[in-house]
Amino acid sequence: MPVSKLPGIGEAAPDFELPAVGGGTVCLETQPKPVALVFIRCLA
Amino acid sequence: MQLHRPGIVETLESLEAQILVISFAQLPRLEHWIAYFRRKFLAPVWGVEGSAAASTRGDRPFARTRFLSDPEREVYRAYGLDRLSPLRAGSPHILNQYLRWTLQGRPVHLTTEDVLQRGGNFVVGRDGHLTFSHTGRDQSDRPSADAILAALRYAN
Repeated sequence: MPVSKLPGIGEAAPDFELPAVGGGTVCLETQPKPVALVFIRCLA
Repeated sequence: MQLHRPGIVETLESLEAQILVISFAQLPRLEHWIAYFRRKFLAPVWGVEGSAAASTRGDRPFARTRFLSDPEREVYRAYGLDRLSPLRAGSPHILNQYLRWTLQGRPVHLTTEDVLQRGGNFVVGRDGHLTFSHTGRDQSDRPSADAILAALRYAN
């Protein structure tokens, strides 16, 4: 999948569902909001 | 998010905000890192280890946080987070930062992970739209916690 453009302020947040530490998955759409998304760099 | 800083956790609680931390590491590696992060950065402030009361306080910074694994980086790509060029990742600005950390006595670890993957910070409001969007020019360019909290207030 190619890299999308960086979504800007005011745009809809791309939805996703990912496995979580502790079990289960988390879906952005059903997550209580507001939500801060932190995409981390390497775990140095 | 600098959860060890005074006032950050209290503000997140007052805003009823959640934090989703997304890593491209596999789940087991991410779990291992979380334990290190708690011990190294949160324990001195929140008392993660020790008495039962300290343990309760220690859970507070993570009470609104979930850690997610995206090893295929599909979500990274959906949010426009590509990889830096090696030239940018090894710029004098970055090397200066590591030199400064070394002189301050901060631990600087070598890693076998992908140091070129961009990170980013976003805030999603109640309507599902973004009130904050940031990826840096390099790995040292990160938004302040205050800027993220301001966006969370606006999103509330």
